[in-house]
Amino acid sequence: MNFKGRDVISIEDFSLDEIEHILNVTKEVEMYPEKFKNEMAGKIMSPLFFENSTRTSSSFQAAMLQMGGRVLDFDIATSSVNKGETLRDTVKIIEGYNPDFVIIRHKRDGSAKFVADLLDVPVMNAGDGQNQHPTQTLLDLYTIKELRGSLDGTKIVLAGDLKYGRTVHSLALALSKYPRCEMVFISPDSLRMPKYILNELSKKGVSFQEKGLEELELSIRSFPIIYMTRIQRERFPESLEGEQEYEVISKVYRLSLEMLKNVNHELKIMHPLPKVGEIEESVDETNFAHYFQQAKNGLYIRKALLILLAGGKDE
Amino acid sequence: MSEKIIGYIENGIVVDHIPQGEVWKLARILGFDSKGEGRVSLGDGYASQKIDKKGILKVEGASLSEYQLNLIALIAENASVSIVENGVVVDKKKIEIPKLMKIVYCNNQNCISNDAHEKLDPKVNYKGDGIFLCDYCKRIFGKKDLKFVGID
Ligand SMILES: [Zn+2]
Repeated sequence: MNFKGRDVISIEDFSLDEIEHILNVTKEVEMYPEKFKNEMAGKIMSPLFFENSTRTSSSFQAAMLQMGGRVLDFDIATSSVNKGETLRDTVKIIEGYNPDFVIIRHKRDGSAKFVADLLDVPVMNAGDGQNQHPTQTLLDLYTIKELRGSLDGTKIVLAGDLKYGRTVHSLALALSKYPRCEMVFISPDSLRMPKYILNELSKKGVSFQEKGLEELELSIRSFPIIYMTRIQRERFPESLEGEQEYEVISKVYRLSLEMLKNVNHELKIMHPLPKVGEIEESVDETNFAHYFQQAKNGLYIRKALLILLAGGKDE
Repeated sequence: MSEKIIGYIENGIVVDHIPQGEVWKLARILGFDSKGEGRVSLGDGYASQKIDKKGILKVEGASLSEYQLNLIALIAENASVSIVENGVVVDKKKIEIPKLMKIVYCNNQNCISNDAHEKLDPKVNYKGDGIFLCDYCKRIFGKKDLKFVGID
């Protein structure tokens, strides 16, 4: 297995064995952080965040800094990008600073692949439009594996905005690489999982069902993991009807403490964060909530990837 | 046989076995419309042994570039393309959908390749069975969603 110098654009770029190797290195990083504290010495990371995402950006930076690396501070907001510079030109300028890694987040689908094609150094996709967010997917897989011990035969409910939510798209596709997975998709009718994802899942032999928001409570009684995502107001028309539709949905799509009275004690609730009210706050304090651990796992995943792309831990 | 269905060609090209309904679009994207040069004859809805119903396109005084042959393949993969000189067929062109092409746009509007400011060439892969895949955003789309660079 060889990771050195590779780009991380999409989870689809990795075989099942490679994903398992990344998850194993992640475990090692989590358990023995001391071992890797100088792993990035002399290396520079250049984050290019064309879209604001403090959470992801901080996680990448912390990963680099905690392993003795440095981070190039390139502020897009005040740079010439805002004066109409093209992505190609911005990337060419960054290349001149000789970074060892480039991290990109951009509103356009496919932008990470475009940048990776332009650069020789490893490029990591921190989210391109609605498309991919592979470090999120890897941390989701890592969390599920921690919770269950294995990814084979994962039974999971994916709920919320399944149409525009790229985290649920890539998680579903990534899980489909593993045998015997079962999924339930819960969403408003207007935000159902896109056809092309469903087709892909069918091809891989995944068994799945699509359900409405009203089935949320029932589904968590029979499935051991639920992965919630937020539903944003902007997905609905700006009209009065859009407003009303969103209000109805916000009421129905709310995981409450009350609902958890009748579930198996082993139920795990995941969420990519930030949440906007789809999980009642009191749920955070229960043993069902695993989303804060999940967010923390992002740091370990990003550390593991930096180590692997730099040529460490190759098999 | 087809030569007898519509107008006679002395020197030019004949595209036969075009799926019914596609001949008008093909003429347009090849530039053989009212703006183009040469005498164009179009026919549609004829019985065909090869496909269900077919259209035929003949253009006097025209030749076909590699690019145009690719466009024909995209619209009518099973079409036969003949070059006519002095009233006889002197060459039959093989057409094939290119594996990677810059001549069709990705149909995902949010794709970086559709960003007017960045001005990239699209990169679309043909995966067979009428399925196209954008190399940038990895979105899959079908033949009916094709938009052609420089035309649409
Ligand atoms: Zn695209």
